[in-house]
Amino acid sequence: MTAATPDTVRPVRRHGGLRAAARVRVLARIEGRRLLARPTVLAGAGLSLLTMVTLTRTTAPVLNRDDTTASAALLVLAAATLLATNAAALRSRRRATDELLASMPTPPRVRTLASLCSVAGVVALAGLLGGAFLLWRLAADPVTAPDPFELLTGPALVALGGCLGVALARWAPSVTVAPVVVVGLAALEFSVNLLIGGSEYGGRVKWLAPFVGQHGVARELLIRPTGWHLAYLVALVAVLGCVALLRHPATRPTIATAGAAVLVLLLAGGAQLRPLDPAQDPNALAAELTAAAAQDCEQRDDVTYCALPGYEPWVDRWAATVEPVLARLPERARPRPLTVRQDFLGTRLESLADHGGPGTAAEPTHSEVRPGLWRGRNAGEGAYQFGLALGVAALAVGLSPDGALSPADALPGQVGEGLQACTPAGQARSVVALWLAGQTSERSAEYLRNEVERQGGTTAPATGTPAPEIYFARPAAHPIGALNFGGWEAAVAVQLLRQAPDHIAGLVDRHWDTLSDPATTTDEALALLGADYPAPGRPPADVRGPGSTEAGSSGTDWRLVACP
Amino acid sequence: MNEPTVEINGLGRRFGRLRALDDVSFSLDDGITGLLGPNGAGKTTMLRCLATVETPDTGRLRILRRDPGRVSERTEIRRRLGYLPQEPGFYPNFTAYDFLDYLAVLKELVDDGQRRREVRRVLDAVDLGDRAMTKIRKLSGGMRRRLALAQALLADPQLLILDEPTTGLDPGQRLRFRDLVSRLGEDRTVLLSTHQTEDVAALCERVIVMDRGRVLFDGPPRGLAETARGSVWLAEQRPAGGGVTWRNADGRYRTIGDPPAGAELADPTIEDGYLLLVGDAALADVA
Ligand SMILES: Nc1ncnc2c1ncn2[C@@H]1O[C@H](COP(=O)(O)OP(=O)(O)O)[C@@H](O)[C@H]1O
Ligand SMILES: [Mg+2]
Repeated sequence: MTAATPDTVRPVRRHGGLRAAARVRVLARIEGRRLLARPTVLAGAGLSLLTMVTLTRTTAPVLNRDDTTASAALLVLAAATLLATNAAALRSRRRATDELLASMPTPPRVRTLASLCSVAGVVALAGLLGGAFLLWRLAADPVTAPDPFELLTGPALVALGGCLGVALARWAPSVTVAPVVVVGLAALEFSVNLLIGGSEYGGRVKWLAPFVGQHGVARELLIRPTGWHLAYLVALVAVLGCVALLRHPATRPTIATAGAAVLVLLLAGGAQLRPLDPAQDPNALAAELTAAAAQDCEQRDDVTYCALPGYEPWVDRWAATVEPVLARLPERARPRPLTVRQDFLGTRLESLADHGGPGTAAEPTHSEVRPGLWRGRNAGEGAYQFGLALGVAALAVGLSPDGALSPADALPGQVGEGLQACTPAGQARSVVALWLAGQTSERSAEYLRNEVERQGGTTAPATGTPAPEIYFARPAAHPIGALNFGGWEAAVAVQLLRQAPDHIAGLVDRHWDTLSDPATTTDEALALLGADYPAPGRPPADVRGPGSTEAGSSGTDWRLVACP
Repeated sequence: MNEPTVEINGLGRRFGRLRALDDVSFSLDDGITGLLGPNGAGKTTMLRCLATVETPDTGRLRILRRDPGRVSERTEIRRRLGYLPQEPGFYPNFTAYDFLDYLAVLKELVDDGQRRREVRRVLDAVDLGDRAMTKIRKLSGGMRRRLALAQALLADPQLLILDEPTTGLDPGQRLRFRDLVSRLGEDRTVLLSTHQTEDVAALCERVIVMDRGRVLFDGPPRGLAETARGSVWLAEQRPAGGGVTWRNADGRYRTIGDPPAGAELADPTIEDGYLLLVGDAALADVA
């Protein structure tokens, strides 16, 4: 045997260079592909998409809300990515290849860096999902504009999950840690987004959580530091990446990056925590945006339509629902002047701490129907059209919002103040209003039929009243927000919808004065309109006609009175 | 001055009070060397030191003319090293190809085309070419052993360290393994551990016998057999006394040690030499 001299050592093939960067690139590509093929990630992506669609399927696109919805849905993919990168980064440990890998010329640092970079593939997938969702929404007559920072938040959350998974694998190398962390983060997100309510949701500390939703508050009234929050998330991603790398001997670029990332984290984290400027009082803002002068109003025939900025395309939709109601009304019964004015009813307002709670928008006037910030679509379209039409019809039959919902003295045997709601149950005019609303479109009629079938004969649990009530979606909180319609009248309206609309409209025209009189009962309406009384029975006598009935003593603090 | 591929001088490694390696010295050059010893002899610890995944406590170690104690030189050693651990882990969800592809990147084969050719080459070398796209979880135990061997061949290493490479191979595979390793040994240094003397007899130009962390023999296999000359006996009846005795295929009793009554001297084999050297430990192994 002859010993080789150093000179005769066969040169090792240095295929394309030994630079760590090249290895990181190739490994990241391999890991990235594997990550995208993992069942966890695929399931997370599918669930995210499903969540986006489920949350928005029945409402029309409102892009300044859909952007946040997309990010919320991507939380599922972020959690899946956390679990998947954690499992991948723990692979050598789980499968006992650490010894073999230790004999390779590539240090573990390179593998960690590659694991971090491999997240890019899933981040791109998140971007694709969000983009596809946005395109889908754009194709369906969207209103308002999305916030680009808000749109990038979803992919940033996925990057965060991925890097957290790698960092956990390096510092807490056990397969049980990541699921526990996911549960913990889910609990955090749950409390930040679903538990915080009332005056608390104005608190800024919540912005330290990865994702902060809109709390059902109109985007227009929220001061969301989306840019700072995105910077905060990106910095957090970088910090976590450095934390993972610092498990290995530190390099200068890692330390420099970590320093810069922490700086940005503090800066952006601090910026988003800044208290709100009192000048940005959302209550004042709401009043300002709903003021007639601020809105771009459009006159069509006798009706004025006023949309909030960005929602103008909805005017056509409102008109398509309002006009069929007016068309069936006797000329003299049409509410004049009638204004359809969009406002923030139905969404809470973010209040400043010293306001102590959600505020209210400007008081509506009697001849206004006030649709809110959502519009029904697909399965939700009938409910929306019916609700909006019912608002117009209620005004026409004289169901004033006055007294619909007002503070009442404490009920007997109860402490504190109660609320008083009014019900047109038992009144002939509610049959007319429900028929008018139902006949505006086939979807509207279908909605009413379905609700009667679904709710018919039930006793409303909220009021404990013996009168069977029926509840409808309320896209127009004013004037029907607190009106409790009767199930019997709804059933009669369904019966009337089966007959020729011109025939019913003729009867309504002929008997208008009687039918619109609050004193006329449902029984009398049946005779006038030629309808049978629907099964299974009559409404209790004590809710017919003016006068008050007190809700049962079933532990509720509602007082139900007949509408004046 | 010519320096051998591996130079070990007074190497020691303790685990607590246990001396896994105790003053081990030898050097290696091109060719195949077998490391023979019973379980717990310290073979794996020795090979781990050579694979740079274990650090000795004492002694001098030079691998491929470099000092594994220094980071930059250690990396240079690893670039030229192929290591098959005694219990190599596998990624069950990877295909055979993907597993090797992944390890090839860690061996610095970053060019896609070259890496593809290299992975194909080592797969063919171990007869797994047609199983490239099979998930490892679906490979048999023997196939996995061959896959593990294949990864050690990536990037054409100059020093091959194989820890019990023939465990789990059936006779046919063992034959092919011998063919492959003997060809590899023609122009590089191969050190393989085994506790099977047939491997040594069939493959190795040199054998190092270890027990309890110490080197007991270092020389050609024939020399190991010769150490037993004059101590191996054949008898018609089972002898009464001590020593190692077993019944041969021809029905005669083979004894190593003191001559039993009426026995005749036999030609020693490598196994005889090994058993005579390691005695009780080997007995425990045989049993
Ligand atoms: N990491 C370790 N910690 C403690 N004891 C060890 C460790 N590795 C090996 N040993 C001990 O060192 C001795 C030699 O082990 P090993 O080198 O694996 O022997 P062989 O490979 O010859 O069977 C054994 O007694 C074993 O238990
Ligand atoms: Mg061993």
